[in-house]
Amino acid sequence: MKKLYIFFLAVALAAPVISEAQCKSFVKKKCAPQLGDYIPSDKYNSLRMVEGEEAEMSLIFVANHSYKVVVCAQAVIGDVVFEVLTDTGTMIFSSAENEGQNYFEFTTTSTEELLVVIKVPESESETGMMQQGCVTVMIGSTANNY
Amino acid sequence: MMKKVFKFFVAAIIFSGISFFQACGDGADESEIQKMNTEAEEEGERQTMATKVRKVLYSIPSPIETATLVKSSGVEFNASTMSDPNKVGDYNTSKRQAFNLGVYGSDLAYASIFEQSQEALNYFSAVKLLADELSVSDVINEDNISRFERNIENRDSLMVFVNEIFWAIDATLAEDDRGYVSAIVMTGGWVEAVSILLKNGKDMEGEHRERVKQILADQQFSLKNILKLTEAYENEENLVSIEGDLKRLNELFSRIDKEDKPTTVDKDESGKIVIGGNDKIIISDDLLAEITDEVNAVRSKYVN
Repeated sequence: MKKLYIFFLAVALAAPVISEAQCKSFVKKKCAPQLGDYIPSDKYNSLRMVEGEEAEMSLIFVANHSYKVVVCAQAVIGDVVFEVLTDTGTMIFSSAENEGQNYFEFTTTSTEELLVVIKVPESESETGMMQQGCVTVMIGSTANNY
Repeated sequence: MMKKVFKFFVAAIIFSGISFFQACGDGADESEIQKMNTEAEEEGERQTMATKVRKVLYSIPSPIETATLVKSSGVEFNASTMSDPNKVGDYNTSKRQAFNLGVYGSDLAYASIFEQSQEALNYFSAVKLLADELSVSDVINEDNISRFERNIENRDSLMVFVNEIFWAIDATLAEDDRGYVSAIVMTGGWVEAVSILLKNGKDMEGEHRERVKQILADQQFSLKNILKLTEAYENEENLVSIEGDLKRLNELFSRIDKEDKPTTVDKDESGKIVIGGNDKIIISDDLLAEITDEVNAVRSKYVN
């Protein structure tokens, strides 16, 4: 019986560690495959976000490449929306204006800094419990001439 | 007795459930979340919370992307422009290990792009040793080593592999709350990429030289983001001198004459979005020499 208590206690205490690992694992299993044939970036652009929260990511895209930017979030925080803006704030893409499309593809003719703004929707839940989940920005690239 | 065990089990599950929701919680602690909830209730509208929290992340291109640009400038492969992989054992502080992990990552990318398989293998071994030293050894296991050996002659597969390895290192460091180590790795990788560009491009002339200068000028974007990233860890002792090095480099890069044109967004014949701007840059030979000297000085400080 004592062993049973120890087992349950271990399960309870290990939960946060398991959950951390699940963020990385979530990105690897659910998000990375969405890049298809693009070469994935080497940066782990991930955040844990709560409902109603916003994040901004400054990304550099080099000249003469094709890119796919995928914004991927755990379902628990709802349908995350994102926008891609130039460094002067001009909007280039909005997922909300593209039927919730969670990716944006483009090519570059010069090196540019773009901003990706991610918004987690407010929850309509009446329980008052704030949901949290992993949000990641996957970047895939292919060189157009090398 | 079974009833007690059942209650204990239920309590453990509830506790686990709460922990699950909190674990993906941004490094944000419980009190912060409670505070946000309270504020929202007090104001009677949760809508306002969206503008209260705004997180900012900074990222830069991978060494593979930068190495691709270096190759596109028309340079030939030159092994002497890279760091010596046999020096890997000399790096005995975590700061130098992290910096040189980035350096070797850029060398590995450079060798891979130019399809130098033996060189790539040497740098992969050095990367593995430093990853072990920095306690991210589980990222490079026997399966990875076999995969690397299988793909060593296939440039595209190798490029994917190299980025996946460094992605896993970055992810492990981030989830271990060692983001500052990632910042040092990123700095080392960037410094080495710029050093390779400058060493390879120093004797180039005409159009090729202008191309090298354009790639160098574009590095200002990455430098700015690395600097902002290091500033986010202002209390981290290991980053103090690196931040100083980056600020000196930034001062030099900011002297590059640049005619900023607004970013243009068009569509090509296939309907794909094309983003450009084509800023015109002017780098005098004197400024180029100053930047080269400073990059060499920073690199020597951590590599030699």
